[in-house]
Amino acid sequence: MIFDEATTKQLTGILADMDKPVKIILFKGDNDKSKETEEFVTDFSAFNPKMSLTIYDIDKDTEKAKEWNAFASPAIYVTTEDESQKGVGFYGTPGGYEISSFLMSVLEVSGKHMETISDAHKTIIDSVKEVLHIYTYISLTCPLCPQAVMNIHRLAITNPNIRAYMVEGPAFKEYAQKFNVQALPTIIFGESDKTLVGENARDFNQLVDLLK
Amino acid sequence: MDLKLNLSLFSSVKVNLEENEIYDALIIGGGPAAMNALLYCGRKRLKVGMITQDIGGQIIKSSSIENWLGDADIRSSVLVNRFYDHVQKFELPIKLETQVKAIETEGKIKKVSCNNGMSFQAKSIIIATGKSPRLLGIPGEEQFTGKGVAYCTTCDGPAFIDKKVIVVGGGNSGVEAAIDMLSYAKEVVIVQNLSELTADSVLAEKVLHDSRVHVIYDSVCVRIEGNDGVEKLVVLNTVQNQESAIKTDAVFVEIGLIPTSGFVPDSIKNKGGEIIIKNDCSTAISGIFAAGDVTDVPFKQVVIAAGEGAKAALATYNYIITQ
Repeated sequence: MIFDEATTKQLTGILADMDKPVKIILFKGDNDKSKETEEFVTDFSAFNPKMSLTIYDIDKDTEKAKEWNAFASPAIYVTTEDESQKGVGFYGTPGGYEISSFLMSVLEVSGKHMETISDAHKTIIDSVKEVLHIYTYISLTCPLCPQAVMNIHRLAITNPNIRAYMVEGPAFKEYAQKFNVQALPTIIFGESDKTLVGENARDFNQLVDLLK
Repeated sequence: MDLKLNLSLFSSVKVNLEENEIYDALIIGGGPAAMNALLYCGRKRLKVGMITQDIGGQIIKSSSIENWLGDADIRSSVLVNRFYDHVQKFELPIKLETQVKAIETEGKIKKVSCNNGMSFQAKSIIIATGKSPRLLGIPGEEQFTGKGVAYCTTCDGPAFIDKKVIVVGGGNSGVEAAIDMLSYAKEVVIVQNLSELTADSVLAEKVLHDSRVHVIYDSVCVRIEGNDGVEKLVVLNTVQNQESAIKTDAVFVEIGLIPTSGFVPDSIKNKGGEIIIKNDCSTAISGIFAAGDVTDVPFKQVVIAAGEGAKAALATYNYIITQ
């Protein structure tokens, strides 16, 4: 069992604050990590009837994977009922410390915002007019990492042009090596060399500044 | 799967810390000393608030605590959540993700200035900011921080799977870090400035009997070299007075901790940066109290920090009612 009794009680209590329904989409593949993640999202999505779960096979449902920009498995998306929110993603299993960022993403996509974004920040975030992919490399044992993941997801929830993904570094070593990730969390802006590392990656002000 | 939920992020009770209010006490920090101080101030019905970067302090970087009375082995995240849950019952203002940059301690009303430009006022301040990692202070350290130089194996260790890493420090924290890194790295080198490891023997034996660990004794770090990331650590053997370069992908610095007291006036600190307190947690400045690892109280332990936080709060209460 992934969620013990105490955690189940805590999660159920917090998820009672969900506003609108939320859809969790999993792209799974033929690997152990996908099996673990499927079990995780299956159990998690039962904590509140406002959550539903859809599971695709990344190798068979290729059109869907393309639609969601799912390039590796497992990939989870937290989206609205009409699937219009395409920017809140997780590559890997959001366990360990990342249970907090996953829980936060469900609440905030549901419309229950735990933090207020200032007007000055919103203006900058809204200025992103083309699709921008942002990746935050984390490990599940990193206490500093969930804040960085929550920050990028808040950008995506604010502006649909921003697609933000947690990437579990040890589970996606080839990508971590490709992007020379040497500290966690590391935020990487898709096609540019803009990065934020460690404590800086937890700072929402610095993250928003990089959008300028 | 070990889940480490941070309840403080989901608090439904959110009371803002206000810039235009004058509080009885402001608590700076978010670890056991700070949270217990907040709890005790709350119980005394003081008008109190807390300012901290995050909740939990140093213990969130440990996986479990084995010496909290009543719990033989408790996950640190669970213990922190219990602390936070308890404190929340008083619905007190907690300003998160905020670092204090300066305090003005003169006069009856103290001022606390923060990194986000906000400032707060109070009749008293309890400083419970704990400790931060001690730096090597050598060329290349700052340049490669985040690019191979790291201070937290539980955070950054997974970035170095199958790599060779160096851990600087042969005390308990250094050897524990080396043991942590054996879960990820293919080879771990410990650089120790003495002729033996000073970690507890039960820990030292774990690394000394592991073929993946190599210890370099009597050596101090001179500089870190690399390009896009760390490539070498240059050390000086202090017995032979000879420098050598060790190839590595990362340098984990585990040479102890220093008090997080940069914003505290020098007049109430010792040479090591610890805040000098009397036995009631007061300092030489009227209205300024301190508790926990940031102070000169010996033995840095969770249970001691929590107790000191309670004591500081009670002393603060006495101070407030006699003003």
